[in-house]
Amino acid sequence: MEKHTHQFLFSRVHGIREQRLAFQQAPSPEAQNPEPQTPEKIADSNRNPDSIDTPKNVADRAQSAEKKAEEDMGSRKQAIEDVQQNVKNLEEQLRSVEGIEGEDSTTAAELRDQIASKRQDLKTLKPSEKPATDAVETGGGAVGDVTEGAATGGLEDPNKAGEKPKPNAPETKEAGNTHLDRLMGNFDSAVKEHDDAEAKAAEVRQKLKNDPKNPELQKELKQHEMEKIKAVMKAFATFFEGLKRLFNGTLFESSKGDGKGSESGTQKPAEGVANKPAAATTPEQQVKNELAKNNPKSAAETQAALGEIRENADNKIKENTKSIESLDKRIDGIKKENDVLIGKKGEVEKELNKLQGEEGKEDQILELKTELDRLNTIIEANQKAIKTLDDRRDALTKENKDLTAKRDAAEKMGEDMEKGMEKLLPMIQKLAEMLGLKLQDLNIGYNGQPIIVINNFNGNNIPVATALEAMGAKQNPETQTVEISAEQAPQASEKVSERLELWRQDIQDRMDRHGYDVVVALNEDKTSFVLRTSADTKDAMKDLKTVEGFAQKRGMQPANMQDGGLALNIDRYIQKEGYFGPAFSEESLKIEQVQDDNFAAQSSEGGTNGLGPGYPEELLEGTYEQGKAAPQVASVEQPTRNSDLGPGYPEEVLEGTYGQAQKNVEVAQEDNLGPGYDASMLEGTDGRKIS
Amino acid sequence: MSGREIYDFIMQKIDHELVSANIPLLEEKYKNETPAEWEVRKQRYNDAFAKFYEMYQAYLSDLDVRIHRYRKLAIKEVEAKTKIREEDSLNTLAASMFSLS
Repeated sequence: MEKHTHQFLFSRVHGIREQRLAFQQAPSPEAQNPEPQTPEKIADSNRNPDSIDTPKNVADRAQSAEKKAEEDMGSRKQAIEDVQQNVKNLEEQLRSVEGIEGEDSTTAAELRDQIASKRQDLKTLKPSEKPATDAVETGGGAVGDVTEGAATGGLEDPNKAGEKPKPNAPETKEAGNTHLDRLMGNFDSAVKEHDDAEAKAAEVRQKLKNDPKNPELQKELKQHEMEKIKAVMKAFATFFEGLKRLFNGTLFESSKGDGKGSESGTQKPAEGVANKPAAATTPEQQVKNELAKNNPKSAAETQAALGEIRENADNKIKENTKSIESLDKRIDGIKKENDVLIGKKGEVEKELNKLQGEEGKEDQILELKTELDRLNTIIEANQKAIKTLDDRRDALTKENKDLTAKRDAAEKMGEDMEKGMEKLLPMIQKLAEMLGLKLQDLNIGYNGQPIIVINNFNGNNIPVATALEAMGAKQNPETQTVEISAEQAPQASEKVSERLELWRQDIQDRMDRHGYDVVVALNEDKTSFVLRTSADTKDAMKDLKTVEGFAQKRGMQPANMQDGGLALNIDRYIQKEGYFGPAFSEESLKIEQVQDDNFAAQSSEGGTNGLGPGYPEELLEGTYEQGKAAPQVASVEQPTRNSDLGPGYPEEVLEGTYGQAQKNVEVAQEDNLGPGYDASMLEGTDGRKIS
Repeated sequence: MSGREIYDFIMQKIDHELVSANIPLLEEKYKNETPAEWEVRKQRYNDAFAKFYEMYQAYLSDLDVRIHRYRKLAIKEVEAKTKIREEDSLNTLAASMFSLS
């Protein structure tokens, strides 16, 4: 399964990596212009062929320049359209993979196989061998696939087809629309089945008292006992599905029409549990997807994850609100300026009208016309800027609305969970009764520890045993512990550690590559990297100091440690952005390195911009281009001081999903620039801002 | 943005007379110009165009850098989406395995 999954994932990203490689291999602007374009060279190349000799040449020369600009823009627009098309293709590719991941995906098929295999395994076990474990394991399996077959698996002789339960148990009833309603209905049905079987068994037992060796009665009793066990298994399966749905927030969802939780006996794996998360369309779905990522294994973890979702949403809303306020101010400022300019334009037009047709005023008219053109240009540029900022503000406002909905959904889900707890508690009690156990005999464990089933109940963190105690039971340390195997439980923390190690290694590689005598380690608390010199030499200390400077520029909050080490804070990237270091595998990193992109140009060895090594690729994004662009842009006096986009950039071609991201860098420097970005990174190394 | 707009954007900061809209007016404006004056003006214009191309080249280079960055950002975003989906799949898979155990 693991191998298969790997292939599946690889095939999914393969196209994207190929694209990335293609992008990386596409010549960069620098590669396209290998020779340095000094002003003299440019001037020479442009002056000689088309120099102006007669007054008539002026217009030709201007037209030639316009034509050249037109052609150049055309090819660049094409380049951008190509990128957009590429991105579109990739997204379609992703969507199609996502579609495939539904019914017929390899993953889904494998899960189904896994369930079937598990069921088959259970069928080979006899009840007498591992009764308690079987019971829970079957119940656990039923979380993903609560069917009659699964519920009774392990207790039936597979060869006795006639004894298989009917696919549509008549006892099951439907009390409402939610999964909880359905599960409670199923649970009640199971209880009824159990009680009916018990009543019949009691009758038979009574008869057996008079005729203890009657084989028919013995057989009948056995059959009723079997029916009781089946009912218990069904109840267990129902309870565990409820538990799982409680944790993943789907307990109060409608069970209608989604094919899950139906009573047809063909239930699919629980959403967000054994099935892939659906696309994040509704706020509830978004919250569920995030929950699925956290994979909470207890109510406390679920509540904590929900709290984090609410907090993150709140923080982002605050951040967006600040940006919106800032954009408001900027828009107001530009609008005011435009009002002044428009007033001025009116005056110029008025004056121009007065002078029109007057002899000897040609120079004055020309000047006024020129001024009018200038004003029009600035007004137009300002209007464009206002529109850009307006769009950005609208996007942020919409994002805030979505975030508010998401926060509310997380809050409601937390409340629902509390309610769900109260509903599930009686189920445990009943289960214990059905098993003929007292509450103190039922101790459901996980990995040797009592499972936290009812923690955070009524605001208290209490394990199930304690909760049961609260319900009247006494905890008995000698009771049988029913284990849920944790062999394949996800190890999220290990995954994070692996990524952090990858990140650390990445920084270390950079240090080594650029000859810095620095050893990088991950701090114990995993909130920072600690850089130390490997030798106490002057050069090594200098290296460390240099790195400190670069880290400072990138907002990594370097701090000198008492032992001489330098701590680089990564916690804020992790906390704020969920960024845990280089996103791609070693293979991808190599592509970056081969291309010598970003970093090499920024190393201190490069000597041009002093950005230096030592930071993940993501943190350097934007900085490189900004640094590269700085000298060129610096030589261009900005024609419109109100446009943050520079001289005549074709903003419109950059618009759209990714163009917007681009504008985040260009226009709204205070806004969210993605993992590892902050406003300080937009500073050119020579102290100038590019935009 | 059209070629003319770009030309005007840059040229208006160099020599207003050479902005597209003003060129047709030059003949009238300088109708009494002497050859010596023309020589001076010609030199000014040639210098202006040289300066224009210099700025235009810088503009183009900067634009290319921006397009290059845009391209990277775009693909990076798709990669980020892929990553999230991969993680979702892995987490879901892990959760499923946990459920089945």
